[in-house]
Amino acid sequence: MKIKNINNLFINFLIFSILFSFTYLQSKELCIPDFELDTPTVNVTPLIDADKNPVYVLFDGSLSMKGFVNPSNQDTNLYVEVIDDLQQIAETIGNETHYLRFGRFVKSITESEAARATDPSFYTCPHNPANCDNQETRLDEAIKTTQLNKDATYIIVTDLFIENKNLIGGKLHQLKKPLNKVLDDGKSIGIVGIMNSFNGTIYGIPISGGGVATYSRANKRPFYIMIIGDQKNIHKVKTKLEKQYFTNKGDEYKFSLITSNPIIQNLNINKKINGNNLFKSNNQPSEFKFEYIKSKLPLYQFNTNQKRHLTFTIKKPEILVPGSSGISNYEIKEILWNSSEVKCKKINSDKTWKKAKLDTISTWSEKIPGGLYDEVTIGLLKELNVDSKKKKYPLQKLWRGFRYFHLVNIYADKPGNISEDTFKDWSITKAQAQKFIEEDPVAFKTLNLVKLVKVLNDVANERFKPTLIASIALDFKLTK
Amino acid sequence: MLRIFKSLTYSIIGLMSLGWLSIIFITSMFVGPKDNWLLDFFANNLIIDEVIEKYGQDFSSLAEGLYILMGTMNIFLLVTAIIFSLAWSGLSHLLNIDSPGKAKIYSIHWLIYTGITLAIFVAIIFYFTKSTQYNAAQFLSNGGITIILFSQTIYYFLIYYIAVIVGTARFARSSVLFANKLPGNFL
Repeated sequence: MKIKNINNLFINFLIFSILFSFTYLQSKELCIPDFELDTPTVNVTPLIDADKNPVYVLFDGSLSMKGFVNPSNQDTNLYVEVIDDLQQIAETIGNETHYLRFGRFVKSITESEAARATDPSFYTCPHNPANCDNQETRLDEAIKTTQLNKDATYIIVTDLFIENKNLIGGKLHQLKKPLNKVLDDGKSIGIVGIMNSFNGTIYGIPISGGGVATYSRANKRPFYIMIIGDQKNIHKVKTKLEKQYFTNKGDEYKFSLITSNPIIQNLNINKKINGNNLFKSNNQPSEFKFEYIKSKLPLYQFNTNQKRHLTFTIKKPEILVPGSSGISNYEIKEILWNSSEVKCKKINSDKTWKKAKLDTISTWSEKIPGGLYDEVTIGLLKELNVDSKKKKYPLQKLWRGFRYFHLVNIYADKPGNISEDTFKDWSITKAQAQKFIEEDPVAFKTLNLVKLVKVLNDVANERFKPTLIASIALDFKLTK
Repeated sequence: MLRIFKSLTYSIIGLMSLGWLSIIFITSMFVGPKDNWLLDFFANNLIIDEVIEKYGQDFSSLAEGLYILMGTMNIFLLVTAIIFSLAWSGLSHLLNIDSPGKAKIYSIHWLIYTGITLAIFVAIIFYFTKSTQYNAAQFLSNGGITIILFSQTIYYFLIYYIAVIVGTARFARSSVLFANKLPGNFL
């Protein structure tokens, strides 16, 4: 009798298990509307080692640079140490190193001459002072050398003290032309700014009423290392300098990367999206399931009531090139389908998916505008609730008892301008110069620095094309 | 007792004078949407047309739920009208009217009773059109709800009122508005 009972119990359990598994399978059945996935345009993995190429190191030979190497400097002179190290760094990132000096013209120099860049004589030419090219800083001429070898890395050491006349008209065009080519070839421009002790004279400071003045009372002044080349090499130089001298960055060191596309990767291609991007593990809705469909599209399936905010977050370090100008605008391209039937069998047989005629219904936000290390938050369907005072939850605008399929493509739409902000404290304009020197500053600023960075950014931004960062799909049933 | 049954019969006849329309309406609602003037009326006057269009839906495919809502709501309204009119008709015979003019005092009772009936009509309509009980209620526009509220309340009030006028005991007619206009030999 007992055995018969156990047998009955076992058979009942078996029948229940089979029926339950069928029900479960049906609830997880996949039924998606017809659509074409947007094609990713970027999948750069910038920090992979490639073949080594030549490195060109260019030293600014203008007289204003002399103050960085004056032996009477009592503070630790980073300029001298950095320049010494730079020659070693150049050797590690390249297969051969060439040295050049620039002022009004660019001239090739020997290794031993380059070693003198940490000596005042390099800037005064004691043997031939009459022919010394130390009166001007023609950055455009220095940048023009990037046409020598498009695979090479160019390291330019300068004070970036650029006169206005070099940033307008033909000179500006001469500056932009090689930059365009550099960026077209997929290269980037890194600018390392280092505040250094200074004991010398700064020449060519514009004053009101025309003319120029000099200033000798500064004991601090920034110099810059401009690196033009592959992002991996730029980051190598930056990382080595940081590790060596700037473990405690403070205000003495700044870095910015100008690139034609500050997006590192498409998150779908590298499958970097998971369930936590939409729901934290302690806030998952019922029947939640996450999987990749169509090989690359992350699909979130769930049931939800109308009192839920759907926010998709992307960590910026996963998509942005470190130190770049970031992204100032994202565009969300989306399609919402709805179905009065919720069961897949019915949806597929009756073709009940209907495409909604809605434009942008989701919004994006970020904690720190233009920041590089916070998150981009996509408020999915948030715009449905136009009158936020009246209805607190956006999903209250959708019909209950329906099934929805939301396809979202997130594009980086406009590059940011963080690099301009980065260097703002170290920059003065022509109009500010007169007043600045009258204040008798101890730490001297760089003329037209922000203007130059803006020029570089403009060139990069002209090359920028909207880039698909991520595509996701939501398949949800809306309950009461 | 015979008078009460007579009264109830008259009341039922009064209910049927307009109630047949309700029965036809309820039947057609449960039969389901057909491509006719009723579907057009719903589409043009009761629902949020632009939102349905915006979501790419076609009202005819969503109408089934609304038809069930309207059918069920009308059953509730009709049953309420029947119960309240028959109850008054029967109870009117039990009113203690033992002197001339006393019936008029009971008009206050009738007014309160009728007010409660109306309130129940309104509550039923709100339950069906404003609560989350029926998903189809989401498609109704505010204008549509107003049309339903007024038309259904007036219609079922008329059913109730006609049934009450003809069903109220003769000696209590003064308590019901205009009921004393009926001929003296009626009932």
